[in-house]
Amino acid sequence: MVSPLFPDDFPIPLCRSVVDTHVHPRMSELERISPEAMAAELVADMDRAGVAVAGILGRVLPPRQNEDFIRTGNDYTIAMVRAFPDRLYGLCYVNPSLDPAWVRDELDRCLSQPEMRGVKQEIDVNARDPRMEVVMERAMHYRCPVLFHCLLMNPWSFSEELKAWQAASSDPNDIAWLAQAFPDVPIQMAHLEGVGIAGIDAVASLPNVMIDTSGYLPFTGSLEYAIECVGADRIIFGTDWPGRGYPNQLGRIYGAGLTEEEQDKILFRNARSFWKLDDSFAATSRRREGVGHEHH
Amino acid sequence: MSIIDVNALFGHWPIQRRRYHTLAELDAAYERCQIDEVWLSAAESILAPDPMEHDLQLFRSLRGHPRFRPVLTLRPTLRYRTEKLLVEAESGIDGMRPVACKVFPNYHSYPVNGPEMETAALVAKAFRCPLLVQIQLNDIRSQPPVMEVAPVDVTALAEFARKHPELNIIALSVTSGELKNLKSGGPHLHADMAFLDGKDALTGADEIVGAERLCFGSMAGLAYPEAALLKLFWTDLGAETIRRIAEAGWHLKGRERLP
Repeated sequence: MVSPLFPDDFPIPLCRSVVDTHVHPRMSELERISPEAMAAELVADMDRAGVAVAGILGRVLPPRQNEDFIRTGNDYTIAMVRAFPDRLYGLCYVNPSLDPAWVRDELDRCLSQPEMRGVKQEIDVNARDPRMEVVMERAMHYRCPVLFHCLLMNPWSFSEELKAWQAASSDPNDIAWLAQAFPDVPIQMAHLEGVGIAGIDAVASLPNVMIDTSGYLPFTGSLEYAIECVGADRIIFGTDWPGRGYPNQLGRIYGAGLTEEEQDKILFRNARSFWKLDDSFAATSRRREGVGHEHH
Repeated sequence: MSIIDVNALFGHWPIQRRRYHTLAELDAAYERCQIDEVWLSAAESILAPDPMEHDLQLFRSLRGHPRFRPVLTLRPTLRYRTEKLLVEAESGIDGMRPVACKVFPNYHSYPVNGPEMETAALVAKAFRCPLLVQIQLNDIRSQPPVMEVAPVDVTALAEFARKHPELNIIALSVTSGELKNLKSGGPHLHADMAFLDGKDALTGADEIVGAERLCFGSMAGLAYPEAALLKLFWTDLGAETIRRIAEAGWHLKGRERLP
């Protein structure tokens, strides 16, 4: 279903088969809304946006979650994927500061299920923390990627509480360190605009790092620099939905003056390869058209 | 339907890599998006000791331009400049009238409930144009240590607006979270949509302040106009409401289009 409000002559040629590699459930509402309903809400928005497939990163906040809370969140992700198995895939979230044996068990429990295709790491421990070893070792075992939250921030405006939350968060240099330590593990470094030009430079020489475009407002400059510096093969589309909406995140891709081939790589081709999205998932293609044409 | 972008800047902005290096490049982006009119201010005027140096260049380069309308950057703490502007309001800036006056209270270090904003209101009224108040220009988390600038206090802006019911005011680059604090400012206090974000951003904004107080705005050249265009149509608000938001700038100009 596509919004009938888009005019037939909408001036931007839109790709109608995007892969969004960075989506969350509405994290504060997992107790109130069933995973099936949450998945249906997401898929309805994906349909309007021309998004064929999305990766669900789960309930990754607040930081320092305990075992039960994490397990509940991962089960919720799995249930969302089961509601739309050809449209959604899941990432398992763990807090590596917990007992390593439990972390390993939870990773095994999740990654052995077909709904889970990788691991999400947030801000519980820094990427350089030795406790990350169990996460990377299991990712290697299951040959799956790790998606790491990453920002290069100036926290001058943060409250003390927020600063405490962010104390262990990883910057691009930390991600680069991890990628060098585990060159066989594919890593998706989140938030292109949040890591900025310094972040792109930090991982430029590391072929196992993919940079995702999720988050922030659609400022110019970073995507163009990333194309110049690492090329379209190393950039992957994501949104950070529902905190971020599709128009701003897609607008960045459509506004950056990319060739159609570069757009295809960023919007779906890289994701299909990186996340091993086989033919059981909804099709993606080069097809482009005005949204109104799609509707009719 | 015409689309008027009330929130655009052109020029060098030292903390962000630019996409549009010439007016022609920016114009081409707007042409691709089929956006008819753009209210453009000079980015350099924000940091310049006296904005007029760069404003004059901008006004002269936009003379007769079919799409771009010049916006005057006000720094009301420069008393000599504001007094001169008040005298020159009838004749215009180098013979041209600004489509709007824009202020950057937190970049120029004055509160929105102080005498500086009263001066800004006086100048905007003299030019018979709306007053644009830039709430923020970037994500606060990405600001470099040498330029840490908090967003404008939107609650205080609403208070200021209540004192000037005859002046159209547009809060530029207000976030979805800040919108609720604009509500009490009255029907003449508007918001552009450049920084609205999240699922159903425009529908949510309509619920908070009403679509009649929303204007199309992109904050291009620091952001992509394509994002604002997608946002405009990505809503269930209905074709008539979309048209109203797209054309809001026409109704807020307060004067006929001038050469």
